[in-house]
Amino acid sequence: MAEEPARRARVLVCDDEAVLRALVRASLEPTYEIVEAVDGNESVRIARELRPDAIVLDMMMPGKTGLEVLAELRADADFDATPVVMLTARAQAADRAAAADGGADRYLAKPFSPSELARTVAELLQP
Amino acid sequence: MRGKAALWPAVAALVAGLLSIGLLAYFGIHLASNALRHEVEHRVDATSSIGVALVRSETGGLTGIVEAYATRPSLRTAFESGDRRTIEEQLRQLRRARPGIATTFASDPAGRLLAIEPATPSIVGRDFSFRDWYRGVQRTGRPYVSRAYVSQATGHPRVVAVAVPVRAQDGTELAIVVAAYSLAHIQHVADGLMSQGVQLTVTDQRGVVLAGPAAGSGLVSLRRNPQVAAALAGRSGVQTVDGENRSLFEAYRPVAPIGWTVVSSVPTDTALARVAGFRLGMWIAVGLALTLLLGVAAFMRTIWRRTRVEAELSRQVSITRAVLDAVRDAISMVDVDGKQVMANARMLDVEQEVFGDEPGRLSIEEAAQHFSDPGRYLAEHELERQNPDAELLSEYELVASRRQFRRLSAPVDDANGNRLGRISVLREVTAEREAEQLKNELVATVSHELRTPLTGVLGFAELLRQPDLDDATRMRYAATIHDEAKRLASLVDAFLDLQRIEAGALTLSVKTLDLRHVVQDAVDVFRATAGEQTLEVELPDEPVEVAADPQRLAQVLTNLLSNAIKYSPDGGTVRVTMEPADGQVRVAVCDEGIGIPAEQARQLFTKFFRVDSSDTRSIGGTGLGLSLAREIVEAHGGRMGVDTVEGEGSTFWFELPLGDRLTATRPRVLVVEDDPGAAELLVTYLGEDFEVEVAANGTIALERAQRRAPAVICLDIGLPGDLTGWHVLASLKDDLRTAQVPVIVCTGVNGHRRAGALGAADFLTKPFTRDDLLDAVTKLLPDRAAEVLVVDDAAPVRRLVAATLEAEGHTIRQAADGEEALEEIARQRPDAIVLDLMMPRLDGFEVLGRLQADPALREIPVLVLTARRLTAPERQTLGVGAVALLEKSDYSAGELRRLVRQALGTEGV
Repeated sequence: MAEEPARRARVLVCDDEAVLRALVRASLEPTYEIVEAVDGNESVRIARELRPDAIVLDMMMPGKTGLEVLAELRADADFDATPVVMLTARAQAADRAAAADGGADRYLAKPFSPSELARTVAELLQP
Repeated sequence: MRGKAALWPAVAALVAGLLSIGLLAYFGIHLASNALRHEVEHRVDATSSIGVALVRSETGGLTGIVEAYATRPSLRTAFESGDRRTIEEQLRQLRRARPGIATTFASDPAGRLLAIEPATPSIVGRDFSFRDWYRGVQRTGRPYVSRAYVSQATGHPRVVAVAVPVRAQDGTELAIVVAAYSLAHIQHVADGLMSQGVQLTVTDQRGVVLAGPAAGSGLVSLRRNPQVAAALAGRSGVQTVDGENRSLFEAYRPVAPIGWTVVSSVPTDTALARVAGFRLGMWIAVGLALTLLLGVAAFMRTIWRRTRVEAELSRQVSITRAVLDAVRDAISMVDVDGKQVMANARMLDVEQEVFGDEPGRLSIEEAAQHFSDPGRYLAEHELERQNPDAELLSEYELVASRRQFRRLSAPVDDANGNRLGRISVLREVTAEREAEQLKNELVATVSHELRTPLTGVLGFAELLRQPDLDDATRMRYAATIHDEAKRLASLVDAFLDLQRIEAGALTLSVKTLDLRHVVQDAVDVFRATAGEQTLEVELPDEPVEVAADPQRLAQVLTNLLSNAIKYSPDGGTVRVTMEPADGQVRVAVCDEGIGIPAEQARQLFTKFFRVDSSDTRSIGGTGLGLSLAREIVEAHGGRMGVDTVEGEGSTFWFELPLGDRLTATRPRVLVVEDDPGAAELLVTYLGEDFEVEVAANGTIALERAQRRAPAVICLDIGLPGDLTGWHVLASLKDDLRTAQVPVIVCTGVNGHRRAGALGAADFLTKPFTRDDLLDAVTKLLPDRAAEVLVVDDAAPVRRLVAATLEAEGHTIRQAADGEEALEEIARQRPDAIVLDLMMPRLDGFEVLGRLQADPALREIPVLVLTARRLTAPERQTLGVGAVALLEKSDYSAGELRRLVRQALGTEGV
């Protein structure tokens, strides 16, 4: 317990579905500190407030879509390098392209594997 | 037949024309002939009387002259003294006294010639007492005009003699002075009277011709001529006489007192030559008139035929026009020069949108700007111009309205292969494209909705495999997997239910139940699981009986309650109320949530619709619940809606027909009429016999009709908004849900043919009477309407069955048990019976047995509706009397209707 790092990396999970937030949390805890946002507007607000090290962003959310949140964050100099993993139910190439164009680092289609998510986040947070 | 009827007046006119021309000709000729005949007769008669006067004056004058000489004293003295020279001198003077005197002479009283002028010495001294003139003078003692004779004097002229006695002072006859008048002179006088073909014949007292056509060199007697004979007998007259080779008009008269006759005559053919001329003229005129008449008739016939051809042509044009206008596609045709020669109503609508009020003013480049892709529009246009034989298919979107069209353009040739022009058919595909887009969105949504719980299941299952999990976490993961799998299952169920309902295959296990219990049960379930929200329930004290499927109702209530709880803030209250009133029971679920924006409230019942708000966070749900709930409520004959105020909360409610509701349904008539006065009038007319619903515009009308098809629709044409009555009619007939509903077009405008073409069942022109309307509506109610006796001890079941069958147009009677059923049947034989088996007093088996025993009732079709699971022997028993069996667990309105139709023998009609 004493060897615990000074600060775990903080991951913001943005999804309107409680079960998905729970799954992401279960996949990434306790390696990372998890904070949650339930819609697009809250995502932007909490991101600015809590400065996460990585963001897991659902594509389809009420308020602002994942792509809108991504665009807004990427326009902000504080977030232009924050790793973002996009989650979506849609598995279409167009969505993948939109996510890539919007500046997402990774794209995971639902259903995704918790270990894959953990691996992806770990890769992105590797120095 | 119509052609013949039209021909008759023309034939009648022709016959009348011919008849009147014939009569005119006949009477014209006849009258003219008669008039002329009279005139000729008159002229002949006048000539004869003039002849008489002339003869009289000639002879009278001559007699006077001779008398004057005879009474001269010098002549008397000369006769007394025998002075021949004086006598001869006097005779010479007398002969010269008048033209026409051939000779003058004197005789002694014995008739011996004393002297004669011109001198004829050979006969002087000869006795002439045999001459008529001598005898006449001797007989009468007075001057006498003699018969004609041939004189013996020089030249032997034919003459008549005027003899006058010369008397001494004592009266003794001294001599007779005679002047012989030449017949040639009389002839000359007569010739002067002859004119215009009239011939004059003068005879002496013996009938010897003195003058006239018959006169020759000798003396000719006409005594045998009947006219002459009549005149000699002192008669006068006018006659048509048949001569030897021609007929004559002859007028005859005696010349009193000298006894001569005058006959004037004219040949009828000469006299009537003018009539003949007139007749010829008349016949020519008749001929001309006939030719003219026939010409006119022929012309009329041609005109009539042409009119008929034109009428037929115009009818064909009207039909073609009506058909074209009825088509949903926009169709136009241009000739080879690119000039538009035809456009149907739809095309005109489209052109109105593209070109506004000034079609043709826009250049092709300007027109292209109205389409989403002007470049492609122009390219297509150019392609068409360069390839006149090509069939082109393209799609356009109008910029302003976003309407999308698929356009087919193809050359059109006539039967001989000559190019007529080019036809364009625009089919609006906006709805199809929107449907495609919706389908794509639906697929995406379903995909999303399914993937979310699937992700939970798969993800937590993977996590569960981690070896180092504590039991509590393991249990939590397993529970989540279970929940998500359940959610997945319910999603699939809901989705399938919805599909089933839309396919009309929802089955209801209808029971009579107290709605209070269903509501209370549902609330209790939620109360147990509710979080910080309070659940309040207000239920009536009395039982609320409805005929319904309790599980389906529970599904509806669960959906409404879970929504209300989900959207209520913590500590909020959800109130459930139930109000039976007016044959309905209304169940309402009110929350204190944030409400729903009005524009979204309308979409609430749409599949997969979820209110777009940050407050929907952490709310699960399928997005299908409300849509499904509404379908279920409507399948029970009820309706569902929402009242919401943004920021204050929402009330979701549904209404079901109440068990004790009387006469569940009369046939429903939907009146589509924008004018409130007219609508009210129609409601008044129809209200006594029908359930009347009014829609003030096309959109509302379509929505109502599609939600629940009425028995009949009365449709006004002039409606406000984009949808005219014609559009509404076309849409109704285009929709499977309403295509079978008969539509009566009630309008002041024309369009009978159009209405028929679009599928209207009847057409009433405003203003119409109450009876007109009732007749039209009644006539259109389903033929299969029959009297059905519903026998069930459960009143709600009876009412459900009654409502279901009444919607079909059947008349329903009800009986609560077997005894009552037999009484009803005895009172009046129903056309069919829907029979429950388990009933007090007399059960269904017994009723069937009694019916079988009575030959008069054996043929009534019986449909057994039972909640019982039947044993094989029971089924066999029923097979004898019942025509169909419907178990309540399989009950659906559609199946009941189908079986009743089958029982009535109208299935498939």
